[in-house]
Amino acid sequence: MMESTELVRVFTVERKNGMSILTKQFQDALSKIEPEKDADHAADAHAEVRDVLHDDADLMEWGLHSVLIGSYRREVSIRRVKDVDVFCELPNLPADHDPQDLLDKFASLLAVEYGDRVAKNDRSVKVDFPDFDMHVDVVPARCADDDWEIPDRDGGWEKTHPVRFSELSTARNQAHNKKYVPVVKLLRQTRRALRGDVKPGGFFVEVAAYHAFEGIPNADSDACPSSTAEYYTVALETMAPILRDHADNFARLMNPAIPDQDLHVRATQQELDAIADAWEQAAVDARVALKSTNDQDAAQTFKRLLGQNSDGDDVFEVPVAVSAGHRSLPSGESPTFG
Amino acid sequence: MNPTTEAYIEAAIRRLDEALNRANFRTVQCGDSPDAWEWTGTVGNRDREPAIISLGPNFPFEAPRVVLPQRANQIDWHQMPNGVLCLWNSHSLGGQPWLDGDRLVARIEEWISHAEDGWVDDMPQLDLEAYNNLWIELRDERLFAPVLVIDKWEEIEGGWFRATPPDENGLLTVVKAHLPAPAIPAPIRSKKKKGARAIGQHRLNKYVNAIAIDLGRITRPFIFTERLAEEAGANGPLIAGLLEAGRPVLFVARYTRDESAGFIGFWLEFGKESGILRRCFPVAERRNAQQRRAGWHAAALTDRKVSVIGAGSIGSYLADLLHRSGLKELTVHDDDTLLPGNLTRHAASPAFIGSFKTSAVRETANQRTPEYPIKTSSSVQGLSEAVELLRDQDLVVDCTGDRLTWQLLLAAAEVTGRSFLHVAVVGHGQAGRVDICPPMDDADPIPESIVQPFAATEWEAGCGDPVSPTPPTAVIETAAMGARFAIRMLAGEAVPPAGESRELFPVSP
Repeated sequence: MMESTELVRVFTVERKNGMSILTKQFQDALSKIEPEKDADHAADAHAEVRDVLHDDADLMEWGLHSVLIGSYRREVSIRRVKDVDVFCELPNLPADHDPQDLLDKFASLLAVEYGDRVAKNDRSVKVDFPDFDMHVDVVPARCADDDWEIPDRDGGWEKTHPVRFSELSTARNQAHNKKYVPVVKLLRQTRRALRGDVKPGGFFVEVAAYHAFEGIPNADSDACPSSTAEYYTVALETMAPILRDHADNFARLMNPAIPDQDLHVRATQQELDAIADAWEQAAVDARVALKSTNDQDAAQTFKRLLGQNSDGDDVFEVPVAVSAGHRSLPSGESPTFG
Repeated sequence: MNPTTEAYIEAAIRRLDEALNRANFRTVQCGDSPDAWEWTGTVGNRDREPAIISLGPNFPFEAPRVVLPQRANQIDWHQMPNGVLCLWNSHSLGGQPWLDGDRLVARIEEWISHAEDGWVDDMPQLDLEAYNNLWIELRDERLFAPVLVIDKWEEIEGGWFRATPPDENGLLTVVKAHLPAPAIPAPIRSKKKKGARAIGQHRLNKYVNAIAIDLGRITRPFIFTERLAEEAGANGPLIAGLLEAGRPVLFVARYTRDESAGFIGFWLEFGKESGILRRCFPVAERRNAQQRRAGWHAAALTDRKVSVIGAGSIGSYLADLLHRSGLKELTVHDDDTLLPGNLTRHAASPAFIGSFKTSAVRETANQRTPEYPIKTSSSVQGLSEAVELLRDQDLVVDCTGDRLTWQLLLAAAEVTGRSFLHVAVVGHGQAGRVDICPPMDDADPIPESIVQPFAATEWEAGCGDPVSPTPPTAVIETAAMGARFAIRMLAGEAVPPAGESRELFPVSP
């Protein structure tokens, strides 16, 4: 990771030498990956599921409180949102309740309403919402001191605290002048553009970005990146060694919400190597683009790194080449007459 | 491919955005239209201070709006009442210097330096009304800014005068000057008999009491009402009384800055709930302002005498141009009457249809500049008169286009040894020429203009000749050529000895 003092030097020099920050193009890119209708659908699906669960006397006795979690909650989801997570806190669940029985109970309750749209997974119950082209993962959780526990794949319980990650993300966003959230969206879109449906997914990139932002000078520093383009480039650069070290088993990638817990990454070694390679190249390309005094060339690079959205539209648009202003008046600089 | 309007504007904003970010400004807002953009950063040579830069809807063809929040509420030169800095004057806008973000930041820092030095060596800046919340009226869905026109400051200086309220164009005019102080009227009665008019209501609507006061040297661009009251001196209680009686008062002031004088006016009115309401308006001095614009030959023309023979199309424009240029002894000669059809190619106002063309030319010029009226005379009839004219005038200009008049003046020129100017359009607008007759310094006359036959076939009641289809443009361009020759000759400048010919609207053979 680049040291802060080095970042200060790099930014100070490079800002003076020229930058293609393409503010408007980045803003438009962000609006092209906004979930839009998916956000309404997620809220509607959550409300429906909550109503079904709240009709059950046992769950209510166990203190059921359901909240939306995941990238949607952290506002870093990008179009299209295909799944949303509903976290069902059960603070009064008896300590000896079997996690798989709990999942079965949730699946039965939901099946009454949704029939074969319901499927029980190892750690959650999935409900399809075909009208929204979306599914809801319902995750039951019991209280464990300051954390929560959810069913794991081995029939036991596993610590988690998704709401805490939301709070940490909000704090990081504030510290970075509200640039963290939009840049994470761009980074998730970059993963989609460079790696498609291949694992690891967007959450892996988000967690790596969260750690990377720790090393990026924040709004209190003169070295704080001044634009979305600069933030995006620096984030790619700062994440690249994190992904490489993780792929090479030199460093762990930690779950920000649970101290000393590794992030579960469902990817093969080959896939981890591939995303580390892709990220290193993306970081180099983005830096070249940012330093370029030719914003057409720069825009072409950012366009490639951000690919297309789920509608098949280019996320980043290359501006039309225009030479605006600085023309000499044929009659010279003659004054006006009053 | 031609760029779209949006692409052109976007490119200009993009350049500025990148330059400002290079200068460590941050883009805090951006959008599709220029006015959605805003940057914040710090500027300053010694102590850094925050600056906010935003764009107006017409960027890049208007300067960015720059506000220094720490100074936004201070009253200073080159800073609008809303805190926006005036970074460039109108003459330096053409190069769009703000397109270069580095120059924009440098200019802001230059502004700060000047402000901190007290604007030493600043231009006089006689546009005080711009700093004092200019009065803008909305009438019949049209915005206008009232303005008081005075002939010259001495006309109203140092006392009371009466003015009109703004007319439909916003013009306030002086009705009568050097008046005694007005009496305070009785308050308007709240209850009145049906059909009765409140005391003074008619006069209130028609005229406004006004006072002219010299403010002397000013150091700050905003004039506080307290300062006006202080300068009113003994008239203060009277002004207060008029306001309390529901009578508005015009306060017209002269001020100086760096030896130059400017004028500003305030319409003061008293509202029971709002207190003193004041509206600021510009005060325009006519006489001196017109003299400043008469051109640099005006001083040389002041004591020259000129006769323009013919007050038709070319003669009217030529005479009008000489009058505008500061010629005070000008006589126009003609016997014709101004008809509606003439107006297309005549300098006179339509208000004078039916008058002699000479009177129409004189009165039109009088509306603009009444202090040196054009003289009028009948057309030149015989050789004696022509000889006398050439001897008496510094220059005679023949604009009749009439061969017989030209022969008459040429004969008079031979008798007197003095040349005259013959100014004419040739071939119904194919060429325009100014001939010095006879040419000076024994020069050859300029060659005849080569024009193609062009039959005029339109006839009109009251005309013995067909109506010439000469374009108005050819008339005015030729008149301007003639006026230029006349001005240069009167000012003693060397001109081509035989005159000048110019192709105007050539016709192919």
